[in-house]
Amino acid sequence: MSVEVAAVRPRAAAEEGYLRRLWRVVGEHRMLLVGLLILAIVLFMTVMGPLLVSHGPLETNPELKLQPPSADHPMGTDNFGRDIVSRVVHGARLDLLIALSVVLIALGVGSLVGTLSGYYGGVVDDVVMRITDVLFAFPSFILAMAITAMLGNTVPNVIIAIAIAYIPYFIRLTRGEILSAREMQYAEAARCVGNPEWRIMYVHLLPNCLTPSLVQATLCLGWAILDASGLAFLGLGIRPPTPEWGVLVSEGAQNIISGQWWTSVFPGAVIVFTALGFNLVGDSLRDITAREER
Amino acid sequence: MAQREALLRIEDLSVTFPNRDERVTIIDRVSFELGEKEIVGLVGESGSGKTVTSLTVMGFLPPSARVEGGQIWFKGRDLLRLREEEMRRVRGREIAMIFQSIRSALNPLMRVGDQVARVYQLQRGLSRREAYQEAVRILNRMGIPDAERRARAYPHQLSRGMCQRVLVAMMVACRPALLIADEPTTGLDVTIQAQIFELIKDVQQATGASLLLITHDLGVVAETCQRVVVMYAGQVMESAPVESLFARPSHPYTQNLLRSILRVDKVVEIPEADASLSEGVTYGLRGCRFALRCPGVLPPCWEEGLPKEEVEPGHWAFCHSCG
Repeated sequence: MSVEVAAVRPRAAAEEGYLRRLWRVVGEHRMLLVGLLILAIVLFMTVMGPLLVSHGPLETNPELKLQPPSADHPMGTDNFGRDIVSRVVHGARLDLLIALSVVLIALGVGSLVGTLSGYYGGVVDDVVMRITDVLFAFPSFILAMAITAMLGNTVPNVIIAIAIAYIPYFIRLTRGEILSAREMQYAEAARCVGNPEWRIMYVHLLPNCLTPSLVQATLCLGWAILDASGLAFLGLGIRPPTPEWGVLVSEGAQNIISGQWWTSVFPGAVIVFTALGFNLVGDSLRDITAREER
Repeated sequence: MAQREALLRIEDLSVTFPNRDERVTIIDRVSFELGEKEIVGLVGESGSGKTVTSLTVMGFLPPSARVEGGQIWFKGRDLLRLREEEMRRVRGREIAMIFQSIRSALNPLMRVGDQVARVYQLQRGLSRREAYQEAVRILNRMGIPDAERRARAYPHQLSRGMCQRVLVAMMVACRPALLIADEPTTGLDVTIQAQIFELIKDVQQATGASLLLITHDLGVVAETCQRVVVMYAGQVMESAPVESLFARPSHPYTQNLLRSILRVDKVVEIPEADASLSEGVTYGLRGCRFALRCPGVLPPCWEEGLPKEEVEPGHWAFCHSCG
């Protein structure tokens, strides 16, 4: 009888735990909810947007150039008469693609290298840490600028450039976590039953060390959008006429002075909105994981 | 005893660790052996080198540590000379270790069944499915009720006692010839402790493994072990069959140690430990490290080397005053 009760408990606790806990966590962190809502809107815009807008992003119309916001063009038109809503919505795909690729590359490379560095320590660690020191010495945006300038401005190059600038963050985070996890006895126990080193590192240690990196990854999604559009704004990243948020802001900037503010302000607001969403979610996740860790 | 071929024979093992600029000898010329199917207790205070000795056997010393000399013979091979890949084949299959900190010895992100199954995959080359079935079977044998369901649990969903059972299952899955248990019941209730010792003993008997049991608990040693090795400050003080050691301890340290066991039914006078002795002084001694605290210290005790005196057949004291 008592055995039966004891046997049922662990599973029941786990099952009711997940949904309830999610509710509790979201309830305690309103900012997480706001961030998730923003991201949901952005995601909807990215996936469905291009199907809903009536104009193409590259469709020019000289007669309707620099029109203020109206029913047909909610965000107005630019100096070629292109619909800004359409350009913003199409740009979302590119910007999110860039942000996701950047973070996946940075997280992937950063975790792999950080794990090696933390696990082996010694010379390997010294070398890796000095390299990250060098990368950290440059502000990440300046570094990304330099790399794009060097590689040439195509979408893959922009992704690589920003990813390189972000890799050191993930190396440092993972290494720190591995250093403390390495002392845990499950690593030793795993070695004890004959696991090869790579399995201990990447199957046993790394998954236990990912939490801070995943939080950082969420924050980096926002930064990557800012950096990608920043590069495009400076003419170092994606080039006009490709619909990309930074390009839109940059193209519109010249019209602000003559009063056509909408060409630049709306795309800019979308960038801010999206980055804010990622930041809110990232910050809340950091608070939550820091608290749950205890 | 002497006639039986030793499964594990540690000879003159010395291990040093760095401390500032110098190297401190943490294990000083330790020798003892373990026969087939024998249960040997390794006792001593915290910091006496019990764990470091077992880690050396497993090849788990931290990079800063250095083996200065000696051999560890296991089935005719010197473990200290094996390469890492060869050592990996020894671990798990031939020697396995049950750890002290139970919770942290299981990967928190892996279901316990998978962790046990992994051993079968690695060591016996079983397929995922077969390995998992074997895992459930062995968990069952370890006295885990409703093993099929428990196998799907994560370590944090199980009690510490259960976790230790899982760990024992993991370690004996491939029937190692030698099982090292490093204070396997730290942090468990007394009743659960008894169960775990019972389990380890059963497993040892069922698999015919030898067992090196590292513990503070002399009661457990008396009940479980056939022979005892007493360590102090990295040196072996005495090595004897259990009955002989408890009945007639020869080494002054062992005598003090046995005298310090608390008993409910009488007042025990605990031998005084001199707090003024720093570990640095003790570990710097070239001769017997107990000399500083020894009531019967003799001049040769301060000199290099410990004598090996056979007090009774199979009962050795490493002491000048016992000769």
